[in-house]
Amino acid sequence: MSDTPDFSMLDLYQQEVETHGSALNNGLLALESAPHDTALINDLMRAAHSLKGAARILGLQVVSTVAHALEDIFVKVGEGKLEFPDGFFDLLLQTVDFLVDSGGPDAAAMPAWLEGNKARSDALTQALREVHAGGPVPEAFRSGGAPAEPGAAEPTSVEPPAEAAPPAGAAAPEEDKASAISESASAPSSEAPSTSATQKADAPAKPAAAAVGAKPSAKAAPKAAGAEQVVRVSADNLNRLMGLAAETLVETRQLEHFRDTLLRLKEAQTELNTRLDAGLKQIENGANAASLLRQFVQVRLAAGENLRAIRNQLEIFDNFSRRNTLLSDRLYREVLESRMRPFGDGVQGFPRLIRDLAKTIAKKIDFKIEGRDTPVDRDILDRLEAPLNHLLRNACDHGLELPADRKAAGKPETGTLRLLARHSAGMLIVEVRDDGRGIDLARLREKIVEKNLATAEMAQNLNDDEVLEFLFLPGFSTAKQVTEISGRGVGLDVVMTLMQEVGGQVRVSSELGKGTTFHLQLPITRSVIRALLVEIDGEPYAFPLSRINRTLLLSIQDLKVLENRQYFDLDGQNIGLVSSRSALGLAGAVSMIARHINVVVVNDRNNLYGVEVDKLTGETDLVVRPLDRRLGKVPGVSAAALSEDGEPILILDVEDLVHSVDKLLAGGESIQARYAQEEEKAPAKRVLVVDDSITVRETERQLLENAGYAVEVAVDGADGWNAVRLGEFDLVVSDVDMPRLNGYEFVSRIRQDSRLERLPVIIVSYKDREEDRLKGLEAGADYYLTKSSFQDETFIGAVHDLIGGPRE
Amino acid sequence: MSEPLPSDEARRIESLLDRPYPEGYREEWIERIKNPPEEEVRETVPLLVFRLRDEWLALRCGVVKEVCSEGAVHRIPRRTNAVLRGVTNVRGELQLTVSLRALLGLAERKDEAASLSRRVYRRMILIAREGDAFAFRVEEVYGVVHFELEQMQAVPVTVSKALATYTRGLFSLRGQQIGWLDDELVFHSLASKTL
Repeated sequence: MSDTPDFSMLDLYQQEVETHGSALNNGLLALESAPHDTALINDLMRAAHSLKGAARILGLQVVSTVAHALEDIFVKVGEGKLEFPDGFFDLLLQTVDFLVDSGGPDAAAMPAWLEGNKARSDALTQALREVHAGGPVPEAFRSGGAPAEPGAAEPTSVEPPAEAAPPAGAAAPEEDKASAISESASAPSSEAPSTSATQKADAPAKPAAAAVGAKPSAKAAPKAAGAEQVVRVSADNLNRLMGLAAETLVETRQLEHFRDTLLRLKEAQTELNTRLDAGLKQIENGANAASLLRQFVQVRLAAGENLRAIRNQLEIFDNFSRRNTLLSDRLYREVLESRMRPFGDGVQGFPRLIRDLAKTIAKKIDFKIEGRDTPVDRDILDRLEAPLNHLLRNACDHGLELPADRKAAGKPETGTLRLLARHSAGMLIVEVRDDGRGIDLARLREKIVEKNLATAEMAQNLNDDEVLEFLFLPGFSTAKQVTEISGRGVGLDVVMTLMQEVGGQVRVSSELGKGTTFHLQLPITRSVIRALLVEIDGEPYAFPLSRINRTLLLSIQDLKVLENRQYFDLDGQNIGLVSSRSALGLAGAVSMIARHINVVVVNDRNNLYGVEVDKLTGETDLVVRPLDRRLGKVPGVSAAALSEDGEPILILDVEDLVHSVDKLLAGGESIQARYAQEEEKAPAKRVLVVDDSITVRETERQLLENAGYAVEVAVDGADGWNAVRLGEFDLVVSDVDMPRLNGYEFVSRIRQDSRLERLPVIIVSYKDREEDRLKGLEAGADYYLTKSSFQDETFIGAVHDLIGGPRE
Repeated sequence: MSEPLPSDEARRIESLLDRPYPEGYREEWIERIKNPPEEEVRETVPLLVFRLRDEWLALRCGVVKEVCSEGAVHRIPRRTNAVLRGVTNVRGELQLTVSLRALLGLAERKDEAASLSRRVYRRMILIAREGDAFAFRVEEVYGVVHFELEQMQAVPVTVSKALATYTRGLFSLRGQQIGWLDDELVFHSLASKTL
């Protein structure tokens, strides 16, 4: 064990913490309900042991002592020499939280984390040793009787609740950095149930990661652009992929053989032609019949030979093509599968969440996850966590009743909460099912009327499903009181929105007194979608099929125009018509020449819109690819794909498309007015400001812009050199000390360029010695100023001297 | 090979290797190893030479990732402009496609420069630097040529201003003037003009 921690292997350690941490968490939860499972205890012991070893290798003594004490406990439990005192599991879970936290900080934050958590480590070790010796669990670590106060725990910064973890309170450190880390880390038990939904995504696995902030979870959150994203692929999957790739290689070699045969065939055919020519010549020369006959018999033979070879080759090729089709299909499926992860991977944190939640709100909840092995696209799995978290919290808080109420209602005291996942008809179905009090439809109807969403009469006429739909409207919450657990203003509409983002749907069914089921339906993968291909302005676009209500051929006469908008009637409903061309900013509006137009009716939330397209091409499966990140969000377009013949297709973002038309109609005039105004101004003289300090850059920019000049900025010499050659500038203002290309070199490059040599340059620098000034002027600057010149008129005066006023 | 040679024949062959070397041979080699003849080292740059309309241009090989056949370019709504043309499929990946001609301000002209190759194919060139990739269409790709830096000529004043800005210098190849484009500037300018 070394004294100075070695952080070179920190990321390996983090992975280890992630694996063993969740093993410990899950194992402890299982152990709580099955205390004598020896296999389980062995697993726990091994996990603690591995963590201890890993921490030792890195020299994280603060962590390894705790892991060691934890291992000792499991050893003793395994020997059957330790009964579980009150609060045993609370203490152990807190210990695991601590271990998991240690995987949060990166190399930079680690020393501070270690420093800040020293006291917490000591307290935990002490408590574990006491328990090991047969003593009771220190009061401080019991969260069962006195649940950690959720009120004291804000999602971002957590005050250590005094009775939850006083030893950690003693550690309240002085340094800023350490305090932020240890404060939030010191109250894991209170933090867990109250973190906001999104944060919750990785909180159970690594609460510290969310709290430290500077180091977001590397696994769940996509890293900043530039860093390569790493994903887990199962070894089996990878092996199969390698196998298929190797097979492709072998198959491709066959093509060479095929080409050779074709070449031989070609030669044979040429020879045949020569013979035929020779035969023709003989006829012209009047050769005798017998020799001609011989000639043609030979030709006939050779031709037959060639035909046989062709037939043979055709068969070979046929086989080849069949194998190849199969192979590429398998390869493709395998690659798709590599995107899949078992459903269980994404919901690991939930059992712990529900347990802590149940303790906090004093309910008895039996939580089960079914269908853990169901494969789900990793993108969808990530996106699923937030809505599921929301639904589960809702079920715990509002759905399930208190034990006493349940008893009174003649139900078992322990409520059941189920999370199920399965595939059905090419879709992923996820259900959150509780056997709680259910949704009171009568009360819901009252609420709808109360909120003026419908008249009393209408509300009575709505069928049950329709009434339940109202739950998903923004701002519609049935909770009588907003609690910490759920219902803090974000309602089921958020779940709905999140589902729609991944192309899914959500339904709810409920029976009063029996329970509620939320039914989520999602595509199994987002990488392949079923889409309708259309043509707009001569190019292919695709609508995701899930957003399409229907398509129709509309006669021009059926179009109605109202307030500059076009409508048509569909089953008695007025539907607004949107021109895809104008929505996408392409030339042309809805065509008035054609007698009929093609319309795709899409559903956006609960409204229908008609989108006019040039041509409906057909239905197809598309592999979704993200658009180049450099493009940013392209209005009306969500992604791209390739057609069967390799042509690019853009996939339309239906919601965005419809809204951009609304915006266009609302703001069309004002945009034009603004353009007109801008054009009136005469062009101002252009100044390029080059400085690596943003403060100086912005000061100079402001001074110059106030004086009326047009200013462009560059962040260093190299950037400035690029900019100065591209833009037509009247003046350059440059700093001296800059990375990549310093001010002197920059100026001398300008002077050496035949097109720029007469461009005036001002150097502005902190250096005010005479020799610096001379060096600057030697390089070719027209002025050398110090940065103090900003305070008076010197700087602007110099600019004025060189190029005059801002306008001619 | 496998059959042993008659012994006297073998001996004669061996003696061929053992014969004394001619006079002065050893001295000549000593001299040559002591003072190796000065090799002329000339600094060269490998450039990919291609033709845009009537201009022969070249880019440093280091930034060229791929030369491929021309594919369909799909416009991007509200993003496509004179320089950014859209996206295209380059070996299964969608790449941003730009018009180098618009960037360099080359005028539309009917007459095309004399071809350097026997057969002319329209091609697409994919260039990339620091993860930023752009594809552009060219009329013809000649290939990679190692030019000697010494032979680089300055850009004459007759060249249009926009093109001159991007040109580091000229080389001549089989009677054609080749403009060597400054890739740094091309990327810088593409990044600012496309986004």
